[in-house]
Amino acid sequence: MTTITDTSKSSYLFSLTIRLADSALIASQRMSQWCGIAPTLEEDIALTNVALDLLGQARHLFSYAVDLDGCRKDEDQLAFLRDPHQYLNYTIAELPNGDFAQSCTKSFLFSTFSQCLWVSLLDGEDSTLRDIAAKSLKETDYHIEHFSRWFVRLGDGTDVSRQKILKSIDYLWPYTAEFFGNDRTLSNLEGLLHINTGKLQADWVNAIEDVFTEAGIDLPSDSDFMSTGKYGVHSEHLGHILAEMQYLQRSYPGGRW
Amino acid sequence: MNTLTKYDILKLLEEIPDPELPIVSIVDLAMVRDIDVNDQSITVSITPTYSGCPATELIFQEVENVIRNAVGPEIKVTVNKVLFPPWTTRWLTASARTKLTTSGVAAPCDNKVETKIPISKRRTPHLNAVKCPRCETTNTTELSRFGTTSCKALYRCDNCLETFEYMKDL
Repeated sequence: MTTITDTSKSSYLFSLTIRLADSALIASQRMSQWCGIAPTLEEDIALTNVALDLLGQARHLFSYAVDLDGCRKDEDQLAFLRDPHQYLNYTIAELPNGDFAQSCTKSFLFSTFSQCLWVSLLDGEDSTLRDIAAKSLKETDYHIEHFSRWFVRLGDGTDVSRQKILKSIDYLWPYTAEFFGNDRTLSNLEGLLHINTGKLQADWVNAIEDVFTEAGIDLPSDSDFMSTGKYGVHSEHLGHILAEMQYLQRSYPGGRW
Repeated sequence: MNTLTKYDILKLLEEIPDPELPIVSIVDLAMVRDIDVNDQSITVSITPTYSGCPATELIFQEVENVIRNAVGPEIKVTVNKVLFPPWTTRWLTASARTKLTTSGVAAPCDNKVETKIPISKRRTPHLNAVKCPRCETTNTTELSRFGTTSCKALYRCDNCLETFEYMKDL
């Protein structure tokens, strides 16, 4: 493992690991809200499978965060006993599911971004993040395939399904600026991870462009709005998710299965 | 002092079934990546199949229990989780593939998924490749990419019309 002597570097690495862990965890929690109410039984199973993969990825990341933090808190304490401002997930992960089209668009945008991020972490010098990336990448490929298919099917489908996809893009697209904008955590880790957000953005646009074309939808233009979840400043939706997700640990601290 | 050899440990681990696919063992599934044995300690490295597979923790516990019961309380037993290289269905042993097929689960065919084809033109990634475990035809259709567990997809045989599970490529 890479030794980090500079404490500020190490705190940036911890922040990034928590950001990735929180994004996977919150995306998983949101996705799992489809359990039992998805449009078809097969889709119900698919969405919960994806939620489970994301939860597993979150656990790899939390367990690394515990090591980086010198084991001061365990995985469960990190996941269940922090307050909203201590969560560093990308805002898009916490946004409400909305209708099925909105969930598909969100998961399509988020999983393609995750794929680009995992790929770029493979070239970094942090071996633990590299291993987690290599593992998660294969699962993420399945998620992308699933949500791209829905995006094309609904976007290029009936008038109603197309309208729903267009509406979901209007709502979600502005939140994608946060993937790349103003990232002091990544820029401080450039020596270790070699991630350039400009290149990351180009890779992502390249990944989604063809699917947009196939769905017959124009790629939206850049948005001036920039959400700030990755710095702990969230939308009003995160608190509600945490209230539900953390209820058990807050009411019965230290409770275990 | 520990008297078990690497081989003895492997034999013990061969008895541990995958909780969700009990027909195959964790050795069949190639989840056991390394066994390190010396006088005082035994370390086993296990790689999870899917990140979120709920059986993983149970398997880790089982590995520890089985070895602990065999060596007694004095020896240090450690079970490590390794993520790299990531688990792949290509590592499945021939015996695992046979056992899967016999139990009605089609074994992975490890075809490279063609990602250059546009989404709307793709049918299933393994068109004419997944064999029905009952009648062995490849005239099969994918019903759902995500099945009852992370590692399986749902297929239908278009000859005998039975549905079956397929252990999907990873």
